[in-house]
Amino acid sequence: MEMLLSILIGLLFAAALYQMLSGHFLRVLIGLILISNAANLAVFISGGLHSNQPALIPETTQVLTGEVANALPQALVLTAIVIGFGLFAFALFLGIRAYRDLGTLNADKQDSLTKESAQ
Amino acid sequence: MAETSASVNSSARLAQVASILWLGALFALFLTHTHGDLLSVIWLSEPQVEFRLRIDAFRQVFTGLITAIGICVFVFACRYLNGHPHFWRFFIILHAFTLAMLGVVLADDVITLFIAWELTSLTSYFLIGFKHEDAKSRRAALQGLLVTASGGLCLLAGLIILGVEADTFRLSELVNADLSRMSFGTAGLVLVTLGCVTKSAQVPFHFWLPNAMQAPTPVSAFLHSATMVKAGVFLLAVLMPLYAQAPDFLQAFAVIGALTAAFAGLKSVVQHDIKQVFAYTTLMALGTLVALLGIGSEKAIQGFVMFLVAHALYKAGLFLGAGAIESATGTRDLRQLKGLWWSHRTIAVAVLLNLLALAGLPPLAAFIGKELIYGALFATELDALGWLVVVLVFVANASMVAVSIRVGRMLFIHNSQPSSRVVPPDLWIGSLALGGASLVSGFWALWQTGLLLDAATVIQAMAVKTNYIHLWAGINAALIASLVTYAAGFGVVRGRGLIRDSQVMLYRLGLHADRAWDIGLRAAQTGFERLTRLISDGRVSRDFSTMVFFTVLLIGWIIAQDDSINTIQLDFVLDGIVLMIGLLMIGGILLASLASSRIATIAGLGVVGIGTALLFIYYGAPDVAITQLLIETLAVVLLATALLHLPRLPVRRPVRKFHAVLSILFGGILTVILMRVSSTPVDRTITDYYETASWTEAYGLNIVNVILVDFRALDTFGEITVVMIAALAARVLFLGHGKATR
Amino acid sequence: MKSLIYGVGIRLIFGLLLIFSLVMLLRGHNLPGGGFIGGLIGALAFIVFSIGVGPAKTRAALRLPPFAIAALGLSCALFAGFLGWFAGAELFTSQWLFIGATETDKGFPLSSVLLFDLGVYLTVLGSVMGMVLLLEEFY
Repeated sequence: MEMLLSILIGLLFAAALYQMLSGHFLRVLIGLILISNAANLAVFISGGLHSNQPALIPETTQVLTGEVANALPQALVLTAIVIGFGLFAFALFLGIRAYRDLGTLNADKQDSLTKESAQ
Repeated sequence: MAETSASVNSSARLAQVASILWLGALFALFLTHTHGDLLSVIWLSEPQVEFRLRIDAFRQVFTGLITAIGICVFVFACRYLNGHPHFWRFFIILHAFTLAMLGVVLADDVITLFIAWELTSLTSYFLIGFKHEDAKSRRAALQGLLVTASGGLCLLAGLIILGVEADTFRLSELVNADLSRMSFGTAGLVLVTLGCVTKSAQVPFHFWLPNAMQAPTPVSAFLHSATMVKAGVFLLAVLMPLYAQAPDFLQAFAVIGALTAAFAGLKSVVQHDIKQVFAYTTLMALGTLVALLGIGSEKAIQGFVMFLVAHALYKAGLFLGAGAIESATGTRDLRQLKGLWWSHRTIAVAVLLNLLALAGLPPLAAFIGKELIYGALFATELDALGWLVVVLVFVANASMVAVSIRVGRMLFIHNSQPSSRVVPPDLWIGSLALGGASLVSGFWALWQTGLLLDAATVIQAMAVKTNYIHLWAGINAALIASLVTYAAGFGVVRGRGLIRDSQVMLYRLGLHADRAWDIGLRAAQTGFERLTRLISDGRVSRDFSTMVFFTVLLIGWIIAQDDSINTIQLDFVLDGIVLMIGLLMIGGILLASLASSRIATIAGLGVVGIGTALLFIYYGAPDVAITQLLIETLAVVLLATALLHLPRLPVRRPVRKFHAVLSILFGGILTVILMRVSSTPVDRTITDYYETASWTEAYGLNIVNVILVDFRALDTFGEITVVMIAALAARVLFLGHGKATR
Repeated sequence: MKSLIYGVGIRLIFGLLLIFSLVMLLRGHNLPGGGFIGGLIGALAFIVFSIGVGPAKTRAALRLPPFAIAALGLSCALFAGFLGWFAGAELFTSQWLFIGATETDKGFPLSSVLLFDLGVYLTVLGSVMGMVLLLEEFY
């Protein structure tokens, strides 16, 4: 299944980048959400998809019996999701602030407006 | 200009006392410490990088000079800048410099050495630019920084090359490495040498040093004569065992050093600003030191140690004297210094004592040093190049005599309007002390010959066979050369007009390093501006796509080069559930990308997020899936709240072909990388450990959570810190800058 | 938002969600859950609450300013890390105390890990609420 999932993730990356290239802030934000999903999935499948069992030790035996999913990438992805959210929220606030001050969400227009006010 | 009439305020007095005690303690520590390691803290284990300090006889001499001169300079500086609004800034930076300089001298690890080295460059930058309202100061500061710091980068590269080749980053082991066994040893040495000659302002990198005289006088006395500029010479001396294996380097040192010395000597006799005069004599001394290392014989090394000590003492004394003169007469112009002997006797005495050393008169240490320079030169078989060096050194020494005569004579010319300003003792005591030290330095050298010879032993890395440190070595060629030099000094004073004319002519011909610097700097600026304009039209979106374009190109190229692409195993396993989730997500992607309604876009994003969560659940990651779902919900809440007050999405323009191609390539590259990754077997070492240790060591059944809060708790702590910082930054963004509503 | 049913319903859901978030936090070490998930559910509880009764009352319900909660959480986590150090181990080494342990039963476990996870919970809750309330209050 890894190959098809790789293609799916590639598709996610492509869509994310296409959104980000447009230069409109909202689209950049959409791209940001898509790209963090793609990155998390990429880390996740890099750890191997050998088992569908959660990485939980049964309470009765207190020892792992049988193969379980790789817990290491899961832990990494879990924190990455939360941090990705932090980044997204920060970017959102940045955008709102920029819109409030400059009246546009177009990156190029924002840029030229800031340069004008700096002069 | 310093405040001289008002009484010292208590903070300046406090600073003075604190500096004396602190530097005095360091002085005592270094001089009494047994030779060997001072301190060693390991930074990195592989390759081994340490914070490692070491002391031996040569370093003892150096640290002794730094701390002793430091005391004189700080006593002067605290009074000189008494009441200055940025007094403490100056005080702290100067102390920081002192520590960095001690670090350079004591470091036994090349990385430690480099860091201390660059710290001296940086503190020097701040100190030269201390009068930052003045454009000339700023230019001089930047020039000094650019020259010495870029030299420092060469040094780093060189030291790393040598360290890797010799398989040690310890300076004391590195110097004994075998150069012939290294494949890039010469390249490493060239880079190190570049670092040293820029720091020690050898021709053609000399121009920053005279400009650095824009700094307050105590800085000139301390950094740009006695200590920092000696760092380059110091490192060359420490690395002598390496250079001795490559005689070409030594020959180059002899010529470059002698050229620098003669050039600077001739420059110094025509200057009028006393600080400029002394700056050029400093250059001359640095050149002489480098030339002595280039000669490299036992006599030359002893001359090097002797001259190093002598010069550090008298030059710091001269600069402090220049500061005192400035306070006494209000000018630094040599022609206005008349009659100081009658109006300010102590200052005149202090300056005269130091001038005796500058001229190299017996029985001072400078005299011994000069005798050894001539002696070392005459002791070798002189070829054409050797004679050139002899002539250049002779010119340099004669110039020093001329400078002494010129400055000394001024003191005794009768002045009809003598200055009656009172100069407080703090301002002349340092100069007088250093002058006195110079006066007895010859006898001190005879008394402490052991220490000096030990220092020479360190430099040449073998025991000293013959002791050449004598005040009277009989009538020999060197003594005759010295006598001729004194006589020639008078001749140079007479012929000053000619020297000036020739220098003006060179300047007209465009042969002027400082001007070349300006031209070079401007050319670099315009060149880079053009280059930037070539690849960027200043629009953010265009810059971003350029960046992505080159990233795609670079990674694509690497993948195409890499053979491992053949190891990809295609698998066509189809899992019905995953296939359905995948199709769902593709639908979400299309909706999010193509919809022009904002609600539809958010819905699309939601579908993608939920699809991701479903994949996590399916592949046995409930914790991740729950987190993903919760974050998805939160993101939608935030986005929906924000979107109510943001404009609509712009009407979609026709598909941008360039962007589409770029995106597809980018996605394709990542697909290939991921396929490559999943074709390699997963290394389960860490996972296996976590799986067994989770219950036995951490008493937790949920391995993912145990990793988060126990095994990798420090990481998690860093991550929640980031979350909080992001939230705080959002708050600042939102409420800051006056336009906020609450 | 004057509807009685809505108001009561919101409070009910809020309470249930909050309890649920604490359950998720506490069971996290042995079953799916933990500080991140608990904190996020807690934040969702307060968001639901704020949609019902408005940001001002939510602030009051939080008792402390959200960033103070986050800072408290960060200090908790840091303190939990230092507990290992106080005990003479490396920083962030977990420390356990089994209250009433017998041969067969481990007793009631109390650990620095739980304190750490509580710190994560509070930091996530505080940071998210800080941002959400900021956005809600602004408009």
